[in-house]
Amino acid sequence: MPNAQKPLTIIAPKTAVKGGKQNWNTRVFPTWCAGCGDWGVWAALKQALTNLGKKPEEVVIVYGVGCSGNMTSFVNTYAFHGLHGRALPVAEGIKLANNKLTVIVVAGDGDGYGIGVGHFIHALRRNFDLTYIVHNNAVYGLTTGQTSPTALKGFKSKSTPEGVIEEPVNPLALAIATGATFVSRSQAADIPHLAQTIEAGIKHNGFSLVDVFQHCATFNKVNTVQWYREHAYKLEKPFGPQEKTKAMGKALETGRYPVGVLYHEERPAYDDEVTELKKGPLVERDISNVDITPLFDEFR
Amino acid sequence: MRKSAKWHWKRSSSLDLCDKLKLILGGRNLSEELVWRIGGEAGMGIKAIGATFARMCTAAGYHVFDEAEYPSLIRGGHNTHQVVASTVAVHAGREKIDVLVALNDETITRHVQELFPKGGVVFDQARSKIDLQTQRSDVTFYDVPFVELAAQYGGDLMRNTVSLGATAALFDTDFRLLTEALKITFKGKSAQILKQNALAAQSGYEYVRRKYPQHIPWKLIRQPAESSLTHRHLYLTGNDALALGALRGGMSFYAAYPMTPTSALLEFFAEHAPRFGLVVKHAEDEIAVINMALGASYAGVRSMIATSGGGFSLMVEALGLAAMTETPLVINLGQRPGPATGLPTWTEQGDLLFALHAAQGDFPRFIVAPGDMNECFFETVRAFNLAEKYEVPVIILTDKYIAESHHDTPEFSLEEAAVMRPPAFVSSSSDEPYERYSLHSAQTSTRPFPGTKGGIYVANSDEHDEVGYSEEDATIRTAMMQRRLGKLTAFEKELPQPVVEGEPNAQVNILCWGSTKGPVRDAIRLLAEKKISANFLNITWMYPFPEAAVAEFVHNAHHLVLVENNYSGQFGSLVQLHTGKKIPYRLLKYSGRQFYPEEIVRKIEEIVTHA
Ligand SMILES: Cc1ncc(C[n+]2csc(CCOP(=O)(O)OP(=O)(O)O)c2C)c(N)n1
Repeated sequence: MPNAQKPLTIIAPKTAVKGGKQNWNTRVFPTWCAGCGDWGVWAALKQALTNLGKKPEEVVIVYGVGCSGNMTSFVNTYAFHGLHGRALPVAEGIKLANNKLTVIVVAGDGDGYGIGVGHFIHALRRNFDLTYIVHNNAVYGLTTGQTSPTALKGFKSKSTPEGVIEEPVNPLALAIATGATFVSRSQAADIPHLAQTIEAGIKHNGFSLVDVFQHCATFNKVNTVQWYREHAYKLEKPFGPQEKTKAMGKALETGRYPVGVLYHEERPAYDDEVTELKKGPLVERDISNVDITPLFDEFR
Repeated sequence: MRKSAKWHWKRSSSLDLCDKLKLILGGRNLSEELVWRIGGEAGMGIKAIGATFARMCTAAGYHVFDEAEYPSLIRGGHNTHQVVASTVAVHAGREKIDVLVALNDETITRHVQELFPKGGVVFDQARSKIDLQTQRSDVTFYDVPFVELAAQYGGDLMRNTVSLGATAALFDTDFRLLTEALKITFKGKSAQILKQNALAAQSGYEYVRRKYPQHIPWKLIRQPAESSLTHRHLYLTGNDALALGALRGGMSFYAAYPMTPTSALLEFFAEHAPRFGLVVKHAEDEIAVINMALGASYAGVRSMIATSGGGFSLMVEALGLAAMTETPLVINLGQRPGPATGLPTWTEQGDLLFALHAAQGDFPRFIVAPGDMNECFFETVRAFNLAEKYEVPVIILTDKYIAESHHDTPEFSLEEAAVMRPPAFVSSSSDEPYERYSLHSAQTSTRPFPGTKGGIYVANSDEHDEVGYSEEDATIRTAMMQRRLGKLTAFEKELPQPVVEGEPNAQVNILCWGSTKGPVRDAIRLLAEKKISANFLNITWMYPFPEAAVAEFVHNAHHLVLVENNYSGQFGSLVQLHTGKKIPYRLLKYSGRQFYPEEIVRKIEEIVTHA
């Protein structure tokens, strides 16, 4: 991992969240490359938590594996750093065990749209109350810059020296098609917008996708901050369930990419619909002396 | 049971009359059992009727073991259900049968050779192309028009029930016992369905009584209440006992992806979720299953997952995640013959070394392989307690044979199955992160659940420091390895010691593990009848390996025999690794079928004769 050298410029220093009541930083200082978009996501996430008045102990962040996942040690909340591509099911399990918690998932695009894309589709269908922040940088950062599933056709890297042959995964279109209730995109370089988007995502009761155009300063010389600036435009307001096809139309546009909340719908979250959770969080169930004797009659 | 008591195990004419008499009059006698098998196509209701027959036997006070064999398809194919009814406890199926109920010709062709001389075949001649002239002359064919009789009570589907009534008559069984059994089988169904089945059974029963009044060769009659309480016993499978253990053990979250032989657990828990307040999730694949369960465990609930080898293969990476993050988890790996899809509905003990070595790196785990219904229940409760106490994965290794075969067993005593939880983390006003992976305090520090103030930590799949922050420092890595693997020393003290069953100082000493316990147990009983003194050591807690007990057994053995349901003798290789002893006699079977006690007996007779 190319993080041995000291960061030269720090886009989001510790002071980015000064003024908030909570200190979201840990004693570990980030190890990302200078100029990496991950700094921006880090800052925006902490800002959103502050804006929402969250307390560190009521938040769990589940991380995938990648440069993105390395954020694990940098945010002061309960955290679970899982396996590459497997953050979502861990988060779903946490939510099922304790639906009082605010659960956020931080993943990379290789993580979330490549190896873990199966879980993504099912999480969308389920509409768990989770906020899914995906660092979308079109490369595999931590393994030093191979092509990711969102790289545009023709993108060249060490793993595709002749250019990618396949079409990129379109996370927004996939999300809308699969029953998502909150579909958004923002940019790592635009911290206030990203913070606002994450905040809206956390507030949304249901599955919130926050796809983040995240520049990788070291391995992606194509999709730079400048490139995102030129290829993205801000959406005025989200489409609702009545305009789902319009939202889909926007998601399918190529060349210029919408940024903001693209689609928003209110629907009960999965964890609201599980009968057993209506009585309270599963973790509060009394297991000290479960009486199974009435069941014995079923086995005669 | 058989009116003319017979010596099953050595029917050769070499037995002289005196021997025969002794056997008949000998009191505790193996002929006090009756083996019944029904066969037909999938969809003919073989399993339901097999279970009803078994219930009729327990209602009459007999011990039962029953076993279903079926191919991996929904209609057609060849299905059988075998019930062994015995006046003494029975733990395995039998090679030879007394009565074969054939709902189709294939059943006769395949199994007629398995009948004892004087055995019986119950079949529907009108529907059969079998030429009786070419069949064995030492067995009796009882023709019962299943289809014709069934037609009056709802059609072809009822022929299984008719055949059951017919066999009950051949066994001279009080029809009321059959009615009792039918009531249990059709509990929850409409009164009409029960009535139709009772009438169909009665038609078969009466038909046989009328047609074969002089020929009711067996007896399956109500046992005196003082000699048997099996009607109050539970009649359940290993899966059932394990499920009850999980409920008792405080499991709150269960996730699975259906896979034989553990699918029944998913269905059982889903059905009982509302009553017990469980959350049950049928996830998208086994990778999600284990990761969800880890999330739930991390958040503080007791979770369990179950699968077979294929699903376990997908779970392997996250098994290591459980170990690295020190998150408790109970995993039931129900083995079936591999590799790949293998024989989906058959049995094997082929995954012991896989379970032991699954996932990269060195880390501690417990592996338990229950060998009977009590162990399925009580060791599952223990598995939950240990998983939480030591914050490690516990693998419960079963297989199709133990998971799906029924046994009668006394009710489990709940006092002996207590939930023991480690002390809860006490919240504090501290804003500092908590050193959950402390290198200074005890091997296990208290695990805070998210939501608790003062307990913030990171469960990290990367190597980490005491809070859980990623750390690659050599000293910390070394200390963390010692912290995790150091638990192994404490593990051993937790586990029940394996005990030798059978005669002390026996001539033949059998080593086995998990589900082979049943066949070996019954084989020991048969060997005793043959005056071959034998004992066995069955290992239930496979890992950490019970070195002392096994070493003592193998080094004091006369004829040491390994009985294992796999090709390479996986357990045998562990025995050699841990004790230095190469087991001289190995009885291995890998046909997808479990051993019959008779096979074990034959092999041991050979060993004893040639030694
Ligand atoms: C099962 C598995 N396969 C491969 C890896 C190696 N690996 C670590 S991170 C990574 C890709 C990271 O890319 P991405 O998810 O886009 O995150 P980024 O580093 O760009 O933030 C890979 C392939 C792994 N950890 N686990």
